[in-house]
Amino acid sequence: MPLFRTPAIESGQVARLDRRRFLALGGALAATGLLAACGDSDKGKGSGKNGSGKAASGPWTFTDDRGKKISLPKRPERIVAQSHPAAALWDFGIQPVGLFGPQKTADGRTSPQIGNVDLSKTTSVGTAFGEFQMEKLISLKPDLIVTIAYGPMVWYIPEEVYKKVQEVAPIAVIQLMGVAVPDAVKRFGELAAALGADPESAEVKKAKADFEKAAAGVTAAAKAKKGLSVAVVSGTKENFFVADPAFHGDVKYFQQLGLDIVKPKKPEAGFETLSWEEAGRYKADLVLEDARPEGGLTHRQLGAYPTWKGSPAVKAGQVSDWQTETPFTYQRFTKVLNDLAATVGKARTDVV
Amino acid sequence: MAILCFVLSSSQNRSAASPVRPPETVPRRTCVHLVAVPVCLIVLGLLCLCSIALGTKSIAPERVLELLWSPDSSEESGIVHQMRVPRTEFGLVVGAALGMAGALMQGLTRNPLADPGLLGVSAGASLGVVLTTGLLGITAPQGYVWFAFAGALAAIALVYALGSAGKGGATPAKLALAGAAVTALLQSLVNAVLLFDAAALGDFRFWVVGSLTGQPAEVLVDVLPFIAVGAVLAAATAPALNSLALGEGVATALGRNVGLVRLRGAAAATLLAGGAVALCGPIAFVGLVIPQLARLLTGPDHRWIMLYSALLGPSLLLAADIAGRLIARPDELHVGIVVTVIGAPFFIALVRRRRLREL
Repeated sequence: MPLFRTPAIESGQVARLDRRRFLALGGALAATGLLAACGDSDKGKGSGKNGSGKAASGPWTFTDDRGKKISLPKRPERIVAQSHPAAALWDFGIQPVGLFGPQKTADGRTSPQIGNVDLSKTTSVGTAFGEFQMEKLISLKPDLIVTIAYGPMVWYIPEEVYKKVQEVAPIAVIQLMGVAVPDAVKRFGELAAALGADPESAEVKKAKADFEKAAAGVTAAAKAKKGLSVAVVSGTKENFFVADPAFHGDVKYFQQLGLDIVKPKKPEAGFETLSWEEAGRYKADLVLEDARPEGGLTHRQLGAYPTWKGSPAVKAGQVSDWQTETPFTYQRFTKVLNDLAATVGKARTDVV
Repeated sequence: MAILCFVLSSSQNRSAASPVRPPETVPRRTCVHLVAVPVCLIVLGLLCLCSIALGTKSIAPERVLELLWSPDSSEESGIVHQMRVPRTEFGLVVGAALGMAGALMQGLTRNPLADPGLLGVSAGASLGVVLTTGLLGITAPQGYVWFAFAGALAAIALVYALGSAGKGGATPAKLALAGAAVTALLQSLVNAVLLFDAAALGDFRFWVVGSLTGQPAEVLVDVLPFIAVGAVLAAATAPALNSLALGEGVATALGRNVGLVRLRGAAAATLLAGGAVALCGPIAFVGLVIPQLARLLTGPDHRWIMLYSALLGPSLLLAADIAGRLIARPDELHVGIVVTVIGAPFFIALVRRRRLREL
């Protein structure tokens, strides 16, 4: 049923559907040792800085997180980006002319995934996974196309279309698998700087300060609630998923801030997949549940499953949102951290 | 389980290949049924118990039995009563409905490869589901189950109207052609909705594979009366299918109103298949394989085929569901996938083993 698959990815089941595509690639990935390179977020960073020509004229180079060196006769001006990096670049002051990936929710509002991007100033070249309206893309005359990756999986540019898209403009990829939020933001900042933004602008500095304050708030809350265990989960009709902190940059960051995140024993591409009967396998004091409106089940729907309803955290009323759609930017992620600090601050540690 | 019945009643397989005979003249076969029917019932009962006792979560059998009679507030009790018992009930009802609907369709169209989807039931129900989840935004199963049902009814009505137009009324060939055309039309509409509205997909994707766990137990109670009426109608139609099997001319000469039999049969198949599809999605192969298997056991008498289909259908569905829970631990496989994986090679073997009996 390939027909059903592509839009399904768009419908918010991104991470889970990808899991399947991802698994196909997983073996190759492990074999080539790419995994190690991905986990190491420091790798390849310097090259971005080195390559960033401060002047708008003259040749421009940037080495992306796959180690691919992009050389252009001058600094790219016209950027087409996937929603997540678009939101990240936007908050650094780089405004893409074109977007691909989720931009609006099913009911027509601006998607949380697009962050602060002003959709009236950008052109959509496609929203579904792998969807590229080539004529539109070409008419935008992009100098550079930017997306993210989870492991070997180049986000929203699957192999089938990669070659075609690459012919229009070079593709720069920022790795997000296993990259904690601040590292990812820093890396987006390097790309933005290479594109001519000022990562030390007053605005960015203030956002960063707010972000760091919020992070300190989480650390303080976590310290005050020693022994609080936190599980990060998602549910569909088919399955119950427990998120792997080593994969998701946000969950990894929560862990770095001192939260005791429940680690699933056998995660595959970001999640351990469980049947609903087994949904009670990992117990925690606090559960963060996937807040995406599409694809997953709502809190109310989850209530139909005895293994959810009967789990200690749910019984104790300690369930909060996992804001999976928030792009990794200082401006957008600060709220996630503040909310988390408040949730942790209120939580009881004696549930399990 | 079916194999067991098959072995037990293998003595009468030889006669299945012999020309059509009125069953009254074969007392030996009745004796076989006296054994085979209880055996099928026992197998089905055992499968029900297995379905309640086995799952991705291991619960000791004695604990399951204890919980079955005296539920408590434990997680295990919740799993048994709110997950395993309902899915077993769904398996029983949907399996029987699909088996009987398949037997009806094969008898009515005299086409051994007919299945409940032939008259556009699955495609109609699919369209009903995507329209409600996509355009109306109803994602609660209680909401879309009726639209799935309505879609199935509308599709089959359209097929019947198209198929009965023109000379000769609703002949099997015309019905099958109309069914194929309407299915293609509906399927393209489904695809169009899915293409424009990705949000419609989440639920549809789950539903279309076929699962016993997609609906809350209350929905089963709501849909059950329709399936029950369909089952009664199907049982009442079965004797007439025997005359129909002799050819339209002979059936008419025997005093059957062929048009009426077809209409009644189609109504029964719609209620059965429409209800089953609305509840658990278009589970393939049960409606195709089970009547074939029943025919192997019983010979050409549609009354027995109907009974065995009603017994073997849920057996296959439950066995597949249990297998799906056990092979992918701690994950689960959808029953729709398991049935197809089991059903396809089995069906090929069946077709190769003996020339399909012409109906």
